[in-house]
Formats: sequence, structure tokens, C-alpha cells
Amino acid sequence: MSQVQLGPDGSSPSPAERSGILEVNGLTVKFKKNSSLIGRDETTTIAVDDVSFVLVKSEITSIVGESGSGKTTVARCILNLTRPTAGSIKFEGTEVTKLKGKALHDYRRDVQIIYQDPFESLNPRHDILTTISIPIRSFTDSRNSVEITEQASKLLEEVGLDPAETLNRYPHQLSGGQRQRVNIARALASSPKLLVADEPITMLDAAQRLNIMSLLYDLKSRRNLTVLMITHDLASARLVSQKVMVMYLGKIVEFGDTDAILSSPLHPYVELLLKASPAPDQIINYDDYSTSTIEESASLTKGCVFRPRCKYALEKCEEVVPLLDQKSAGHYAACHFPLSTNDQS
Amino acid sequence: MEQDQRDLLRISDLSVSYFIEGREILALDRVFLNLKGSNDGGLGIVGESGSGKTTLGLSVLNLIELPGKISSGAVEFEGKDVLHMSTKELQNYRWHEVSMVYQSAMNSLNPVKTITDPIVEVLRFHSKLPRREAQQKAVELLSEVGIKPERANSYPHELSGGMRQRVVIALALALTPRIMIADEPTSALDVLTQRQILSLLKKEMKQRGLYLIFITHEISLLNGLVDNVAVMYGGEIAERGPVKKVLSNPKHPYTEMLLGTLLTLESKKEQVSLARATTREVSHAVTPNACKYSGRCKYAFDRCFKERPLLKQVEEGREVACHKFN
Repeated sequence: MSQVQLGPDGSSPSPAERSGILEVNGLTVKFKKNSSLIGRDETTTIAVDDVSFVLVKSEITSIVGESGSGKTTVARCILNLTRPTAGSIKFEGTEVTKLKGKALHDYRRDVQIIYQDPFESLNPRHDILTTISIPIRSFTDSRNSVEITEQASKLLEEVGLDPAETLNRYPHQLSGGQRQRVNIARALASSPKLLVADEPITMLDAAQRLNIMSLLYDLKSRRNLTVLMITHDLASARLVSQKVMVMYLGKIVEFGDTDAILSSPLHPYVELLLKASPAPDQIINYDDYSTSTIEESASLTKGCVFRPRCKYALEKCEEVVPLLDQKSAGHYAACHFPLSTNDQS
Repeated sequence: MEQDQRDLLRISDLSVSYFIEGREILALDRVFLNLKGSNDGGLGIVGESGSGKTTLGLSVLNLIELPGKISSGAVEFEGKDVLHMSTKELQNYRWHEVSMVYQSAMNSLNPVKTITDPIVEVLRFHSKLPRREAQQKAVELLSEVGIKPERANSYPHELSGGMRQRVVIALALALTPRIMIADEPTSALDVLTQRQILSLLKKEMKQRGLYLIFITHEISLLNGLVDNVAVMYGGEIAERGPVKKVLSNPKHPYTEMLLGTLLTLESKKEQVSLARATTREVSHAVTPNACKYSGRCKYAFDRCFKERPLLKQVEEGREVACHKFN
């Protein structure tokens, strides 16, 4: 099994840090799909394949990967919205996957999510006050409407919105960036310890992306939040997160400190992602991008699944599945021929 | 205008309004645009949501419908007046000359039809091909955009977002148009799939001599894809010029802000506070005569609040609508 232990800078972490706030161990999720109406011909899709990691308290960790990499499924398991096929998830030492009733309700107070699409994740028939008052009512002691309005106002102010202008508006009267701020305010209502942000900026205009990223970073510092951010671009991961975890087809392919991953990526997939990051002064050579897709990788049964898209692939890659190994202090990669080490030799 | 009579596409003084709840919302405000032809390398239209870029694309196809209305101006395709075409003429214009890949079109494929069906339908209706030939041509088109013949009978839900987007591109290519308008075709896709789709568009431009009008809010994608860019703000063209020059040396304060707030691998956290200062999300109420960007502009001075700047040439091939350059 590929266990990742993360202490800051790879130094031996103190026991408190080692346990982290959230521990994921051997998480595996398989989806079954009936390809015929009568229920025969079951096919199994492995969405998450033996993933283990630890989230360190008050850090932002980014999961980076393209659609189909399983990053959202990992998040859904952490939120107890999808039941894993195998593995365990421990939040502050308590097993999450088996929570029920009151314990689950308490867990939801501690772990909140911001969804990707600010246009679809707000009820169009609720004004902003109603939207935010729902978690306030269910997770805090505030009961009367004056208190609730006051609390909602505070939350809106915290995320950079003017309560007087926002409280009585409906989602369609707000811009995408404003809606995403409302989403964040709603997630903060229960004072969570862990915030999962599922591609919080993908649907926003370029100009608003930096703003939302900076807000997330400020909140993390101010509230001592632990954040798990899901994203498909390394640029946003780099800006706010201390750790980066890159997933490909349900597996972690590279994990480590953000700076280490960006300055010396080990996995060819990460190199590819880095090259695809926007840089306006660079001319993009669109001919460079092969047509091979994640779907071709998914049809492989042995060897490294990234091989069809990898320009460095050798014979060994066709036969042996690479495991996630520590290649240098705190820097893990699942590749037979990691890049930066090749360069040095 | 002293341009040649037969520009590929000429948009002059185009204004479009939407009438919603008794209010008139000006979506396009006196837009001028000339596309010379396929040898000038395609055009990117950049702007944030609400800047009018999609409306501009729809106007080119004369597809503005109520509550929208084209209040003034003209769209000419090779000298033909698009806005006054008869139904029959429009049928021979739309898709034959200019086609469009709509935003999130990949979710608009009919779920109970295979991906080949809509292409066959288009070919049979417009090109009057017999079913068999249409079927064959559809499979050819699909393989041109990177979908293998054995996937041709798949249903949309069996394909990834990137694959579905390829289908929609094949559909837009079916009648070999001269111009393809791609409206944020990659906004819902991840970075690598995005690059692959754009490399496909680039290939089609080269092979078919297709003129690409690429509408996006990600200015960073344009370098290497198209040669020209028009930056839109509040229904107006704020800046226009060759992509390389505009990206390396933006003139309009809005373009400057767009590039300055771009999230890149070099972005710094310090840049964030700067971004926050210059990109207030609610722009100040501006009077009808003022520059629309004046409420958010850090350079705004008296004149900007009183008089609307018009698009003017500031150097060879570059036009900017800003009082800074007067």
C-alpha cells in the first residue's frame, strides 16, 4: 500500500502533526454499471484506487487532476456523500464512513463544502438571507431571526460582500463571483474545521479567480481552517496550497510540498500539466498536444496507465504498475523513471 | 471605411438590446469589426460574462430573438446583408457559410440519439445526400475530429465532455462553412482536454482554410491559436489588434487588468491584493455618456466620466477606445 506520511518539509513530524486532522487510508471506490437493461453484463469502474494521505491541520492541500481522475469522488467520500468500497477515513481520530444520526450531523458541522458551480448550487427561490440562515439554524445556537440576520451579515462581510446590498437579493441578481462568495459564507456558517472546495473558481471569469483564491487563503489564515481544494490547474494550487496531490485515473501519481512539485516535478503527467498552465506571453504550440485521452488509459489492464500519453514510456512501463514511492524527502511519485532524478544522473 | 468591398465579414455600427422586465439592456453598443479573410489568422473575442461576446456571435448568424432586438447596424458576409436575408437565404447562409459551436453545446446533444445521427440529419437536409452517403460522410467527419469509427454509434452519455465537444465540432464542420464561431467551447473542460480541442480547431483552420472566431474569457488561450483579438467590455470593443502585441503590451486599462489578474504559475499572493483593488465586482453606476469602464478604472480622469471614448487607431493595426490615448 502506498502510505504517505507528511511532515512539513519532510522532517519527522511531531505525533500531533503526524495524525493530522484527516487521515485517509487505502480508500477505494468502485462504481458498478449495468450495461444492459436486464442487469447482466455488469462493468466495474474503479474511480478511486487505494488512495492514502493525511491532511495536516491549518494547511491547504490541493488535489489536482483532470475529469475522471477521481478527485471529486475522494472529496465526496470525505464528506460522507459516497460510501467507499474499501478503506478508512478518520477525522480527528473518528471513523467517518460509519457515522450515523447525531454523530453524522456533528461531523457535517465540522466539514463543509463549496461546490464548483455557483449558478446551480444556490436555490434560485431563496434569497441570500434564507440560504445562509439554513445552516445557521441547524448548526448554531442562534434561533431568533434578529440573531440569525446579524450572523448572516457578519458572514457576508467576512467574505467581502455588503450585507445591506446582498441579504435580500436572489441568486440571479448576483454575479458569479458574488454567488461563489455566498457559497463560501454558507459553508462557513457552522464554523467548520475542514473546508472542501470543489473547483471553486472553474466557472468564474478570469478576473474573479484571483479574488476568490485570495479570499480562500485569507479565510484559512484567519480561521485556522484546513482546506482540501480540488482543482484542475496547477496555477491555482500553487498560489494557495502548501501541499499538492496529483491524481490520475483514481491513483495518486505525485504528492509533496507545492514548491517541490512545481520546481522539480517527478511524474511526466505533472510535467504535462505544468506545460498547459496559462502564460499569456508564451505562444502555445497547440500541435504539441497528443490526442490520446484518459479514456485510452482507462482501457489498459496492466502496466502504467499513463503510458499512452507518456513520451518517456519504456518497456517496463508496459508490464509493471508503478507504486507511489518516496523519491526525495516528502516528495512521492508513482513512476518508474521519475523526471528530476533522471536529469541528475 | 476604405476597406475592400468584399471583406469576409463586416460588422458595422451594430447595437443589440434585450428588453427585460420593461428595461432596455444594451448588450452590444455600436460595434465595428472587419474580418478580411482566412489569411489573417482568425479572431479571438475576449471579455467577461455580460460583455456581449455571445450576442455578437449570435448576431453574425442573425439569431437574435426576442426579448433581444438588433436596434441598428449591419452585418455583411462577403458583401451580402445578413440582417435582411429571407428565410430561404438564411437557410443557405447559416451553417453553409457560418456555423457556430455553442457554449456548453456538448450537453445539448440529444441523449436518445447516437452521435452520428445529428450529423446525418444535417447532411441529408442541407446537402440532400442519400442516407447511406450521409452516414459514411458523418463517420468520416467524426474521425477527422478524432473519434474512431467504432465509437460512431455511441450515445452522448457514453462519451467524456471532451469527446462530446468533438462531436459538436464535427457537426459545425458538416457543411464546410467558411467561418466557425466557437463560443467558449472549452470552458467546462480541464486544461489538457482544452488544449487538445484547441489543437483540433487549429488543425481545421489550417486544413480547411476555416476562419475561426473564438469567443472566450480566457485571454491566455489565444496566443498560438488565432492572430487577432478583440477585447470586449460592456458591449463595446475596448481594444483590438494582433494577439501577440495586445498580450505583451496591453493598451486599454481593462485589457491590462485582465492580464494582470490572470492566474498563472508566476502569480504571486501579493498580486491578489492588487487584483482586489482593481477588480471591484460591482462597477460604479456610470452615466450613459461616460466610458463604461470608468467606474472600475484606476486611470479614470474627468473626461472619462463625461464622454464616451471611441475606438481609435493608436498605432499600426491597433485600435483602442480610451481617452488615455488622446
